[in-house]
Amino acid sequence: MRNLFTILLIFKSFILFSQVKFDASVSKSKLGLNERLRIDFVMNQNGDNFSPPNFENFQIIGGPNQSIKTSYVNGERSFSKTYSYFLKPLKKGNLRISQATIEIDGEIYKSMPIEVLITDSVSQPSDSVTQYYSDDDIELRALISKGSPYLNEPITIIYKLYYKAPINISDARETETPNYKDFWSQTIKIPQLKVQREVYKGQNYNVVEWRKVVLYPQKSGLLEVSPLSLNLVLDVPTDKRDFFGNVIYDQTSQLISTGMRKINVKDLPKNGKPDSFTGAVGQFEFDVILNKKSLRATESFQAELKVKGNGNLKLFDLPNMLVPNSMELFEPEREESINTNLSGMSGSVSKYFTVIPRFQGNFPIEEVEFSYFDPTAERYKILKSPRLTIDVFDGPTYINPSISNESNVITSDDSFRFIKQKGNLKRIDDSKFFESEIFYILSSTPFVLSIALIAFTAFTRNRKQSYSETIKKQEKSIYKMIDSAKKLTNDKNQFYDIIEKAIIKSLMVKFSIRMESLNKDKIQEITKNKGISVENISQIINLIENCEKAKYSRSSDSEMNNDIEEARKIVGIILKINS
Amino acid sequence: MKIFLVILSIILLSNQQVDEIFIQSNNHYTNGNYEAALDGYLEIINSGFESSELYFNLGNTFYKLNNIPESNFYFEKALAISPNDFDVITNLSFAQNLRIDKIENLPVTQIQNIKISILDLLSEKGWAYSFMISVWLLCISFLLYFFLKNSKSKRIFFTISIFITLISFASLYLNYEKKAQNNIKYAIVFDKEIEVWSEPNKISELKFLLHEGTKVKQIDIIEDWVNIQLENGTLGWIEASSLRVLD
Repeated sequence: MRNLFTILLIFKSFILFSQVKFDASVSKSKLGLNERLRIDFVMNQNGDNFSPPNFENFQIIGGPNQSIKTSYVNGERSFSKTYSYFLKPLKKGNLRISQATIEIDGEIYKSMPIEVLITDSVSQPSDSVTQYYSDDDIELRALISKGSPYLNEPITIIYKLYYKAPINISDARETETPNYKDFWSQTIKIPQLKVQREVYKGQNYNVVEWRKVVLYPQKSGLLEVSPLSLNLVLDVPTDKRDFFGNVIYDQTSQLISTGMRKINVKDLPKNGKPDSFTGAVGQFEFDVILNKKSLRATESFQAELKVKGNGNLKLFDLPNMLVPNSMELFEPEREESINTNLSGMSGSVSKYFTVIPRFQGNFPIEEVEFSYFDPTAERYKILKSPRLTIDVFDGPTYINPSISNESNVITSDDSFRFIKQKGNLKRIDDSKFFESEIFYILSSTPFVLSIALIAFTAFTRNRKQSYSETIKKQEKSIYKMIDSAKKLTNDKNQFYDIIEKAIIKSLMVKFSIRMESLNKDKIQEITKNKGISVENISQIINLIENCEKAKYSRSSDSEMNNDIEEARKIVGIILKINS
Repeated sequence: MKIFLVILSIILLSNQQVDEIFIQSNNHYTNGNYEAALDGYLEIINSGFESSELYFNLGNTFYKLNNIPESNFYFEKALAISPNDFDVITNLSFAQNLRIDKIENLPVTQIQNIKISILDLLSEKGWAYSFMISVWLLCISFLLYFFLKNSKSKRIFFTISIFITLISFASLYLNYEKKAQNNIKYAIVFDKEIEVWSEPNKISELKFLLHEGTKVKQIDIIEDWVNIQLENGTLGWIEASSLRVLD
């Protein structure tokens, strides 16, 4: 019977032995970056040559710890052997822990690979390996000076590590450095970490300022500051005491983090924003300094635009200078002397302009305007430089080629001309002469006048001509009359009548006198006045007398012929007169 | 007749007064009292007088007071009356040196230069008078040619009248040219800084900035906007309120 029992026992144990287990299990499948993870490799039979996986992306903080448990329950023996590791994740994401191997009874067993999700750091690491201190005993705080600053208004973040007895910190390393996206940041150096005492939450704490940063927000809106995480090596008291009764300290490591912090950045007010605003926020003084007041042309002078004060000195542009076009302006140089401390940047920024005037004259330098936002007064302020002048002497004057015919004449002796002493003042006269009525009248009159003059002379000439033509006709008719008298030799009376008429007519034609007024005396008078010679006059008178005599006396044909010849001659003389 | 005498006396009197003010202002200027000189000169203009000398002195005063646009404005006005006054040219170039904008002039051909200098010899009125005188001379010489009997003097007056005909045609042409030249209006920018747009509105493309004292040619006006051309030929639109026209 006893043998049978032993056989059964052996048999049973065989069954047990045949079921070899080798498992890997983790304490958490999801954890923060600052938390820790325990992984156990458990087997139910004793094995050799355990080889752990290479914990990629993890840091082994503790282990391997080996523990063997053997228990008998109701006479049944249960065995388990565990290899434990404490791991700290090195990065976020889905991490994989690969297989571990063990050799049991000459056979190699492998554990299953495990996936673990690592998230962002959590502020309170829930995982505490050692339970000898409470979470309240240690805290990492990020103290933000202002929760809702203006854009470009400086804020500071001080990272302070609070801890109190019984904990002591023997080492600390940053595992996660905050990154200040959308901020301009400057870390203020802490030469040596100092432990200070501070009352916090009504209790005495040891405080270490771990890091100090000055931030200038560069974007408005809700901005995030990623957490700072520290890996601390703590000296923690255990409940064990040494031979002398002193508490034995144990070293453990713990991750501690500030968690994500949010800062609400206010935009600068829109209304009242000056045109010249370039983003300066703070308290400033502004000045323009010229290093020379007067100089020769082609020499150079330097104009310094200087902004002094507290604010985001490195983060804005200084205004530009405007100089007259006849000066050459070189690219400015920027010079900064800035100290950054906890209250922000302070110091001065200067912009140096090198200017070379090329022509002489007294040149005003445009006033330069600089504006900034004062976050404490919460309004914009405008500063203006005084209006400066610079006297340039001993140089050429530029003559505008569009005015002068000689292009680009530069004469060296031209100086600014003095005012004119003689006024020559005239009433402002807007009237136009060209194309005005008077202009048209005055410029057309000569033509009209000359045309009229020409027309008049032509007319008179014409009349003269027609007059001489009628005379000619009448002359002809007179000669005809005389000729017709020839045929009338038998009628003496008529014959002499015609001759007499012809002579009188010729006189009438010539001197335009009337028939009635004619008698001998009158004829004599007229002919005398017209300048006919005395001889001719007597001839005329004689002839007329002859004619009258002949009418009543007898006369021969030859006498009559003679008289005709005489009459012809006299008429010829009369008509020739004065023409 | 009495009224005429009264009017004449008023004119003469104010002429005298104005001359006095001018001399006073000159004294103020000489003593460096530019503000007082300025007041006097402006008073003369307001009472309806002008002269190249007055504008020149005003330009000088504004120059001394560092007023860039005003000094440019008055020197340009002085130059418009007497285009060949070297004093005005010199001081205008001083005033132009103060301007911030640097504008290269378009090159002017030799022929254009000659034309401009001929046109500048006389004022618009002067050219009109010269045309009139030449017309009168033409008629006289033609009549002389017409009525003189002597063939030698006839020949002389014929050539003279042909010559004067050419002259009067030329001066008529110059009259029209001068009129066209005077119809082009120039203006001076009076704002410290103004925007020049590609169209007469503020939604179009912003082309560039101009600064006080710059001279622009006025091409077209649409409501409150002026189409301007710079001396280098660039075109653009400016709000009319920032310009003051030279006329």
